[in-house]
Amino acid sequence: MFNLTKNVIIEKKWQARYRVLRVVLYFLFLVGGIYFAYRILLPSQKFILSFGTPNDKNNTLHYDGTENKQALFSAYSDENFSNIHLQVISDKNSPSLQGGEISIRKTYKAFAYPLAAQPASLPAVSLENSSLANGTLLSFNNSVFAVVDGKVMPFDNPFTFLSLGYSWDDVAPATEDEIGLYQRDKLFTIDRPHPNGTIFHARDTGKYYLVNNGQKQEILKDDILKANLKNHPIAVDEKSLDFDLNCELKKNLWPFNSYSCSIPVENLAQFLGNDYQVSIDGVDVKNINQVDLTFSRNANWSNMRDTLSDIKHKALVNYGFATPY
Amino acid sequence: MNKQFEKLIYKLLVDILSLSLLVFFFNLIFEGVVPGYISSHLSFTKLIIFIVVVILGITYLGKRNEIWHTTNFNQSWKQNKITIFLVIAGIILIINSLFNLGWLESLITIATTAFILYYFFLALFVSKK
Repeated sequence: MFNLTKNVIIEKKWQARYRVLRVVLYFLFLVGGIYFAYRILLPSQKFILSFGTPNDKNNTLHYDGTENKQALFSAYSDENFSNIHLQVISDKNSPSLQGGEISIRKTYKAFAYPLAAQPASLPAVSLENSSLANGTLLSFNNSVFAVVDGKVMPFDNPFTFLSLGYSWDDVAPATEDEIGLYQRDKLFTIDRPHPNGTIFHARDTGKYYLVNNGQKQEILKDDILKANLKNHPIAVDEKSLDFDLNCELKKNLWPFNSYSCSIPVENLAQFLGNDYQVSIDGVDVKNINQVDLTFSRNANWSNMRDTLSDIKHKALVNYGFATPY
Repeated sequence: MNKQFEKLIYKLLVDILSLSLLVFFFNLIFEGVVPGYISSHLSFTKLIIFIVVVILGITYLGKRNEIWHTTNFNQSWKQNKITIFLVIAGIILIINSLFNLGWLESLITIATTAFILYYFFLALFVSKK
């Protein structure tokens, strides 16, 4: 074996101990290396929300409110996963959360807005025809901006842009002066919903919807044809709104006041969207101290191939042989 | 403390150092090829602090047991396996870092690195002889 301290002589008894400890050391490094490679090839993502410190930057899980005794949480990711493990830590002396029902779906935040009773009228749709209407995508230098309520919001990275279902074909080049006409707003991050004026097209039902002030309005097909849309509608799946995947909270041995359950979510990969919405039913949010959501991938060839393909693409981008997604 | 025990710890610390350096350089090279992939999982700062602590431990035990000067530094640099590994890893890292630089910056970087390596070599090996 590779020995750098041959000249440091120790007694025979200690030499035997050294040999054993050395094997243990090499074994630990080997196990550590395998575990690290596992973390790299099958990366997981963890989202946390601590109700005790709601303004903490580490809170990556969003609480969307409670409706009909269903507390809704959102975790934003552009990736697909195999399993979701949810852990809820209750406040001390609060009633048991056992039996609370967890449901999950993957969609776009704006597409999950409630459906307005009235369909969208043509004048509202025709807003899309004006050159810098809400949702217009502009590019200048290396940045892409979305026009939102009279302001321009730069996308924080290409992954956010793509995770929202936008197409590079819809980005119109703009000059510095044209961008300068608008007040610059904060970054367009992955947790922002599509702006007013966005049009969704459901792939499974063929219906069109317009995002309008926290609601979505159906657009009749004839109106869509007449409007001659400038941008591609954002593709969605009507089926993605169903909370089909469920599990029931069970008490953990440790931590004492924690409850958890796991759901296989491989089926969610078929739906478009970047918002993993988790609903907790039958649990009062006032009794919750912290919610942890861990997304993981199963160890299989398909998942590893995806990561290896991503590594290859990023390496090619680094040396200028490919362009970012 | 038992001298034999201290020597045993010394030998183990040298093993830990060599393995840590191996891990450090392989991860650094991978990070250079695919930026952000390793650093999102592993803190290089913590790894460097760990390596420095191990080096301090080796120095302390080496001096206490008068074995510091009898280690590989008396060997020729060609026989010193750690030096050969460090030189190869260093060359790969330097070449990799030159990819996104202009020719003038590359030239200055190569000249400065060669200058530093030459004096490093003189200080470690030639002066000992």
